[in-house]
Amino acid sequence: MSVLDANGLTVIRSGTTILREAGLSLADGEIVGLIGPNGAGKTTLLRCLVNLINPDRGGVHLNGRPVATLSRPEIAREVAYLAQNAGVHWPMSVERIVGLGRLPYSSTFRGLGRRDWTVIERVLEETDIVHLRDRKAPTLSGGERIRMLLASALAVEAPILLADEPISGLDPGHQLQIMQLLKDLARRGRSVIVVLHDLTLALRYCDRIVLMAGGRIVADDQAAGVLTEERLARVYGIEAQIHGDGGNRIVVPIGPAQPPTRPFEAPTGKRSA
Amino acid sequence: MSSGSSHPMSGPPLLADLPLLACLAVLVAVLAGASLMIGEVAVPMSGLFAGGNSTAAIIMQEIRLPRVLLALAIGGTLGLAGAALQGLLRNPLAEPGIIGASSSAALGAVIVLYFGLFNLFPLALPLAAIAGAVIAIALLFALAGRDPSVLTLILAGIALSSLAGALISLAINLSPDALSASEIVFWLLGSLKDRSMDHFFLSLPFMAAGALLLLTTGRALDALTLGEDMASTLGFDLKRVRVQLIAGTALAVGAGVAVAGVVGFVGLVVPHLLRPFVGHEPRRLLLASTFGGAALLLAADIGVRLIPTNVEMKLGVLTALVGAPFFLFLIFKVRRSMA
Repeated sequence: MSVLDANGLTVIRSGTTILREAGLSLADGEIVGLIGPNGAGKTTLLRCLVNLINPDRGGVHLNGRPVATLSRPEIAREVAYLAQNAGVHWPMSVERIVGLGRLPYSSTFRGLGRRDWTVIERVLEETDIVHLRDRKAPTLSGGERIRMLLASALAVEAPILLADEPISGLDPGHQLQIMQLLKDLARRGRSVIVVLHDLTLALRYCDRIVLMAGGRIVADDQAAGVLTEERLARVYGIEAQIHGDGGNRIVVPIGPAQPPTRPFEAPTGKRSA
Repeated sequence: MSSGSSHPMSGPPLLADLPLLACLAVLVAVLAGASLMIGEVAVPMSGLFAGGNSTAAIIMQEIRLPRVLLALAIGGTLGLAGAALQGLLRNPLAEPGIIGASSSAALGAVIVLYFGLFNLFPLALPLAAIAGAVIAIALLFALAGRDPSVLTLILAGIALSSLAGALISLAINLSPDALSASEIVFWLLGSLKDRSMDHFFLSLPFMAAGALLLLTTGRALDALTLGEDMASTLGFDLKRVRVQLIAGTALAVGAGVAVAGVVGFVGLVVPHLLRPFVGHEPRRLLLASTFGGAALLLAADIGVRLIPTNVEMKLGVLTALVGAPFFLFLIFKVRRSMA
């Protein structure tokens, strides 16, 4: 069953078309990799899905209801969102930052209860930051900070998780750990959209891959069907080889595409893809 | 390292901070008692409860008690408004004055003083100050648009403060005689001297309403720690939060300025001093800063009476003398940590 549906999303800002007729549907228990070159419109698409942006055309339905008609608390309990480059403005401890993910269930005069702490303990472990729990958030390294923010998003325990580049800046071990964690979430019935730049991990962990370029959705299919050498040359302008099969496929970029191909052209020509 | 089973900070936020709030409450009580005892003549504390027209009863109940109650209410709301604004703007340098509420409230009051309207009815002064703050907030939103960013709000606040300041200067400039000019200037300096219980009861509802609006923004301020996008997706309608917070500040600060003139920097100093004691958490800072603001203003009001000067020093002068260097120190500190 589809939990999140976007149809014909078009976003125009200052005369530039950032998103053009983008559509996407997310099913129960599915992990979808959202990939594409810088400036392809991935973040804008995610922001539309959680109603942070009002699209100029098109709309988003959450569990069959238009997302624009839902209140922020209603959306918050259904969709957790990890923003790209989210900052931490006060030197709060790591466990308290993670606890912010429980805010959708709190009230003005109630703090964190036993149930909340159970969830916080679990997500601290899942993201491997238990040992950092008492550290002040600003003292963390880049990778540790992303894991903390992902833990906050996980603490929401929403049926849908939208994660914007949750593994950028992580070491290989933690990249694998986080991708496995997201895949496990999907296997337990949650729905996940994850923005990635690592094509091999996208192939290996995602049920489906949505490839964006120039504000459009270029391909949306089973992972292996989307990533072809021809398409990588066209969209990313790279020559890449895809080795192996099944769950062990790897994507190896060799160099600029030969003969040189122009990367996917942005629709308006104002933005370089 | 703390274990998973025992968290001192779990449960209601009020309980977590009980020791801190109790300490602050004791401090406030001691300072309030001291403030009642200080004055040109020695009056026994029993005067507070004495009936009739004894000198002790009149001095206690009609001169000193209003002064203490106003210091409590104004200091508390200033501390609270400072903590709330710093949470909203995610900037430790924010202050109620920054959104232009203080100076616009002062302008409203100055207009009343200039035209002598307070002779018509005594409540004109406070009502005009509150109106000034409300108009400032309305203008602020007109200037900043329907979806104001933090920077636009601050810049609009500076513009409003400058405009109000210029109009106040104009009023002083055009004053028909030296007496009315000095009346305006002295009122602007801020003081709690010679206020009555009427002042207190008139301003209390506005300050209470403002405080309620501000105290209930706590969860959203916590969420804003992660930025505006994350706060929205954690379930907070940020437009509503901004309106609530700025309306609350206008009510609280407008009412305070109306009664006491301009008393600055309480909202800057108090949240900064208390932040480490509440784990830097914006929600927990709100109530602590309310208590802290009350304590600081009571202390300052005791200070102006104890410091031996020929005429009593004005409260706003003392808070600025202490607060402005503190502000500079904060800028240095923030600059270093951001570099």
